Amino acid sequence: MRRLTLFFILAFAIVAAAWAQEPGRAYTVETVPNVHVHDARRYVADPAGLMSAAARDTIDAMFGRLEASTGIEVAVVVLPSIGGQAPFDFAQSLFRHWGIGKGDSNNGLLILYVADQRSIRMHTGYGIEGFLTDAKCKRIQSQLMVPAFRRGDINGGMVAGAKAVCAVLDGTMQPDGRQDNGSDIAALVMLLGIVVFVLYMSGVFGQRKKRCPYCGKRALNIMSRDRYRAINGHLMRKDVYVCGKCGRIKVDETDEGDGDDRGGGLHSFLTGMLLGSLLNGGRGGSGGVGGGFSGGSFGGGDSGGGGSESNW
Amino acid sequence: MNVKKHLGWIIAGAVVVILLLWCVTGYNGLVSMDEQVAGKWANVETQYQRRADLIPNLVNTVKGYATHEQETLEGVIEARSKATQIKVDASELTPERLAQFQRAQGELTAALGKLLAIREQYPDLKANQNFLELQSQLEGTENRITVARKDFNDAAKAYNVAIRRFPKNILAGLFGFDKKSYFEAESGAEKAPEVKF
Repeated sequence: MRRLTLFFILAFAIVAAAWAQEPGRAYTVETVPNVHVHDARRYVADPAGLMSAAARDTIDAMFGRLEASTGIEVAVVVLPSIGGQAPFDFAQSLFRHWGIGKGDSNNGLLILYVADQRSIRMHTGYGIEGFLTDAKCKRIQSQLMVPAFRRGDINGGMVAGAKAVCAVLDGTMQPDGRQDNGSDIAALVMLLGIVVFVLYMSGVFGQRKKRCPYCGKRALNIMSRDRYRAINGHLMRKDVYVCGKCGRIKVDETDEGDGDDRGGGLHSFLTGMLLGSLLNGGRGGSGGVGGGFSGGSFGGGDSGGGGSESNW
Repeated sequence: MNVKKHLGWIIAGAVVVILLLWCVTGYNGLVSMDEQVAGKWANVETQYQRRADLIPNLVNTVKGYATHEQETLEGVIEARSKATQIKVDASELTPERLAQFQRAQGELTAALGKLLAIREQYPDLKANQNFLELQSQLEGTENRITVARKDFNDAAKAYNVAIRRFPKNILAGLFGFDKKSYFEAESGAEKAPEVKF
């Protein structure tokens, strides 16, 4: 019985491995790994490893510089197959699925290589189709990329194409700096956190005085606050108030549970909020300039289907 | 108690307020969907216009090489002038107007297809850099038209569903939100010309 189970597990593993490594496996828009999200420095999604690591790194570096100087987001996708779908349809839906380019300027570019259809497609976002026109895409493809692909030199073709694209796009626009949505929100949360913290420290929340149980006026001033551990192990808080109207003393004893959190609920919540927003803001910043080891993101750009396609 | 006496009125008032609020939000929602459809329609027209703008240049380039194709060239120019005459406002997107628009643009597409087909007989034209670039621009424009049409169809369908669903259909009827027609599936004649290299 155990042997049989082992056999099935082994058989399943072999089939799964074969399926995963089959060179002609068709990718869909959902199954293409979005490498840029995992690592902001990566722009080339090459899940089947058709390109050499050196060529990928070269292209990553070029488009990293391009994004830093212009804000233009490029995604390079190299796939063995996309099934029977037309590269145009695939590129259009992948472009929208990932949202390549900044949301407000739509400055995205998708370069899609499909091996089994022998097709290279550049898909431009609304914002850059004026600079990288269809005709320019076509010229780059037919003069630099297709000749290399015909020789079977995918690395040389892709690098030459990327270089030409960078040459066209360099200096066409300014990066939006901190207009990235993510860091905007992070900055807002941070600001809010600071404001709340300052208000809390200045005692605004404590302004409303407690009602005196004897004279009924809201005039209780706190005299002292002590914590001690009760016999049952619970932490107790003893607050002593004096009424500003009638001068009588009121004592409050609060059970704070058996934890040793001495900070109190609201206080720790606020501190957490402030710390959290500080950390968050910091990370958003480094992601925004595309550095660091953190994941990046595409900004939700849109494409109207511009660009050009060549076959060889 | 007073409250008990007026309870009926209070409930009626609350119901009226809620109904009014629903009307306002529902109406505003329909208005923004309507605007969205209009925006997508404007984009469709822009892309068709972009195609029309490319044609004079293309015709002139071809003219220099293909001297025996007068008929084909005139066919394109005629189809272009017909197609550019038909402008449909987003507020009057009736099935007839849209069909008329689609027919005229389809004829232009077919004429362009014929024009591009003649390049096979003229190797010099086929190798002309200017022609190649015009061709890639035309191809890109056809792609943009496809995307714009699909976006428009999606927006129009969403709008049509919204105005027909209960209970918003009451609002739509009250304020005169009419069904929008959208592009039908392309028949053979209207299919974008295959521009392959």
